[in-house]
Amino acid sequence: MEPLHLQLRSEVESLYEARPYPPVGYLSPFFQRIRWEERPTLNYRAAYSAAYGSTTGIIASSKPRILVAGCGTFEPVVVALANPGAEILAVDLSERSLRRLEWQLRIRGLQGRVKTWAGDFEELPDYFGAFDFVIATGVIHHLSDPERGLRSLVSRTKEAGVFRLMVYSYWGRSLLYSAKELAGKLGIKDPAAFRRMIESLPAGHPYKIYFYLYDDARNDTGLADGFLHPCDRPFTAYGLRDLLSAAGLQATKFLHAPAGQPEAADRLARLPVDLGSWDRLSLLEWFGELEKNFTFFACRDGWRIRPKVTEYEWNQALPRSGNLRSELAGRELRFDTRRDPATYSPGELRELADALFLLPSGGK
Amino acid sequence: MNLSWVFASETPLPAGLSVEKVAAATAELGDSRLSAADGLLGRDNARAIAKKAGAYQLEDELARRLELEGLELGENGEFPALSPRDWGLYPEAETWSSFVARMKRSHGEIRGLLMSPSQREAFLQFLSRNRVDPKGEPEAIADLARHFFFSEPLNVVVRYTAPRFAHS
Repeated sequence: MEPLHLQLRSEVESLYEARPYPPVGYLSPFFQRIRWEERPTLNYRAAYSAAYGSTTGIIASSKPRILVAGCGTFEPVVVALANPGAEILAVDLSERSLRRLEWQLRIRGLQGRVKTWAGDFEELPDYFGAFDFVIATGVIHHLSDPERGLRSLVSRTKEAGVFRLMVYSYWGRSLLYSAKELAGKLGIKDPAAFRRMIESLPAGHPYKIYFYLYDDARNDTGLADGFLHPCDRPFTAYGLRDLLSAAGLQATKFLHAPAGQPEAADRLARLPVDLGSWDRLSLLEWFGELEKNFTFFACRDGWRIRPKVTEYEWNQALPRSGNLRSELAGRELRFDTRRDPATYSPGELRELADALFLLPSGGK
Repeated sequence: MNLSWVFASETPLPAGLSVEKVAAATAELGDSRLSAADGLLGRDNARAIAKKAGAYQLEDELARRLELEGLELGENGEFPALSPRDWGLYPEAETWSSFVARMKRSHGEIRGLLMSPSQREAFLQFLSRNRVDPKGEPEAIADLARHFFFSEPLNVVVRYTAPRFAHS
């Protein structure tokens, strides 16, 4: 008999082979919605800046190596658009998902920018080398051993590597898990039967309302991914904190809406000043202010306080000198890469970082 | 169909059976959130926050869309199952898991559910649409009822039997 973790992996692989996720079609590729608003949250320099200070994004690697773990059918397209000049490796258990991804990349002329590899990212061959930025969206909670999986991702990054993770929230999705529990008791395994179960509930039933609020439930693939996944281990805020700590990581910036940022907990009540970010996030999670997921940038524990900023090591995408348009400052900013970044004022650096972050194609 | 686990609220219970109230799943869910917050802020503060947080309201447009799809929300687009204002109001109510554990400890047996005619009809229809054999075990059926009547307390019919002691 196969060990449990291999059985689970095989079930997860079967799910995504049968239903590649997200459901992008071969026949209507041009209509696939690109979530442009996600681009900044998938940008290496933004993640780097969150870890090492808002101004150091301008000296981050200009040709970062990015690993998209458990990439599915589409995310690397957005990652490629969000990171011009980056070298991207997209990894997924499902070969069928990767074939769909390759089609999506090809029709956008991005195929040369993204390599794909089918398999378990925990078994990624060493010849792929180390990465500057690891993206794992909706992946960690689907692993049989999340800590081992996260550790394996950490081991694949460079020392100053950064992460962008999305992990399911236990309390944010509590109604989903209750509905899933009911489906389990009814022996439901397919989307049609799940829909029938939802439709057979009263009009004001919480599972029914939650189901209609869950965008992905509109199609069978999304429904199966959300409600019928064979391995789904959500995290509480404290559980996530402990997981990150065990893997040697720390969160550097939460990418939630303002109402889901840790400081928003102060709206609930006058809170003790010594409450930390995780305490505040827990409060938001318990009182229903955090919806569904934790999404955040992270870096290795301890690195945040001693960033390796090398003098004069400006972003290589920049010409020797020139102007950059800063939306933050509302004007063109003069820069010279022969000048020590430390001689700029914090305000100037922030404006430059902002301008560089929005560069459409590597600073030309 | 004569089902042994269905007890009508309008007729007296047979001898030897009694009714026990189990908290609505929605109250259980809210109270477990509140208990988690108790540990961080203390019981009174956690309750004060829940009360202040009030109703969980959906945005107008979203609420309108759901209502057009036939869903029933609370007043002003409220999603009552997630509204913190009532959490902790019924601290004496027993949760399903603690009820089941107590039954096992105290030699109690779940024999069925006490339901009004409309509850009975709705629940049997639910079972039928989901292809559940209504002649199943009362405890398993009651467990499904806990999900179906998510926002209402359950009236569970139980029978206690005298414990048997081993003779030395």
